[in-house]
Amino acid sequence: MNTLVDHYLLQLRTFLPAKQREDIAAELRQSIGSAVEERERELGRALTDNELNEVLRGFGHPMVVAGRYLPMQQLIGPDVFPLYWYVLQAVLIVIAVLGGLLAGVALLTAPNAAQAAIQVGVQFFWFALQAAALVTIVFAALDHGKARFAFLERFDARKLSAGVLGVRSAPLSPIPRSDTVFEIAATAIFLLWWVEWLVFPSEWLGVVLQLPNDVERFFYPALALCVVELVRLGVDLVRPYRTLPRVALRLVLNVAWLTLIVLAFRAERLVEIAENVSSQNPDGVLWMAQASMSTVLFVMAIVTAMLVATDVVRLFRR
Amino acid sequence: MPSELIDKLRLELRRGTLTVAVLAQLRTEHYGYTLRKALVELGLDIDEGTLYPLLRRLEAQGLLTSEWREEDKREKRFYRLSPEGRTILKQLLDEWRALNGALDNIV
Repeated sequence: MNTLVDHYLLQLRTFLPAKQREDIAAELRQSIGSAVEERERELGRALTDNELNEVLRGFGHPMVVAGRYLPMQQLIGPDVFPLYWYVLQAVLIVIAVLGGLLAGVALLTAPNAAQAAIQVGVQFFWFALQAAALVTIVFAALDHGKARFAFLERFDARKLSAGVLGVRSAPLSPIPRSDTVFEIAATAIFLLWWVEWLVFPSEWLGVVLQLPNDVERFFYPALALCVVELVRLGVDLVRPYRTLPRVALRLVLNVAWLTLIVLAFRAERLVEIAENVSSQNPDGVLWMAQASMSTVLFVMAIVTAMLVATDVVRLFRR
Repeated sequence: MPSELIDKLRLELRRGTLTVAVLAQLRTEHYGYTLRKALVELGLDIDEGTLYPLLRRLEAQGLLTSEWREEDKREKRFYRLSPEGRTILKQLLDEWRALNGALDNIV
């Protein structure tokens, strides 16, 4: 047969599954042969390369044709895709918010601010790509293994309406997922900083700063509050609407945060110098750090008080 | 855009019916080339790149049987409906008639 057909089949064979390669190629060769013969009968002569090309184009590109023989036709099927898409978006949003916040911190605190922010941005871009690839691989494997998500199939509207601790209550209003994701990121960053897994650069100040004992004594209460907050926010993420018990829980948590903030304000200092490395003016640096911490705490107190007031109004309106 | 949309919708509409058409046509034995010709002559255009993988899939699912045999001095792979395929085809045709009837009522 014509070398054009030989080349076509040779290409096609490279993409075919090994076990069926010879069989499929033989069948396609026979089929192409029949098509060529019929066309030659119609014309009363042998086909030119252009005419033969037209016949082969009718079969399709070798890679596309071979792909249709593969057992796996898609990476993630329609059953799994909505959950995959939701998880991918959630992961990327959290990473973007975290990256944005850390880039902001770098801009405000690092000596070479722009360079530090770009470094954080690039690191988070690669981190986001890796996370997206990992999520895709996991869901592709689940789809390939024909995994079924029991909770999707055993959908029960009664369970869907249950809130924190399984308490069911009429929904008051929706909670935007973007708000929840932002709160999760902010709480996570605070938690990581609080347990000292995340250390913001401060060498450029020429001193090493630390929290004084007056503030350190709130370590466990703040830690517990962070954990409960993250659980509450996790529930908000899965069930994004306010109910009476959930509003009440947020109110209690915010009152607790407000109490901690007020107690921290009563401390003699919010920050102290652990070690003077190279600063010529440690008192000035301490004053600036104290003023920054006070401002942050003051803003947090105002925001928390506003949230408390909003939740009180929500509860009383109800 | 409207022509792209109609192409996409037509493809979705055809996808399921191609399988039924192929199964129904293979109540009589065919090899790939004559099967395609018969379908085209009956008004169902299907390209080779779609038909041959579909035949393999249906065979792997046990709905078709096949054998290589010589005809006109050339080895050809002949397909026909398996007993299981016959049962499935009957059910699919019942489903098709019910859908067709419902659609007729709607439109």
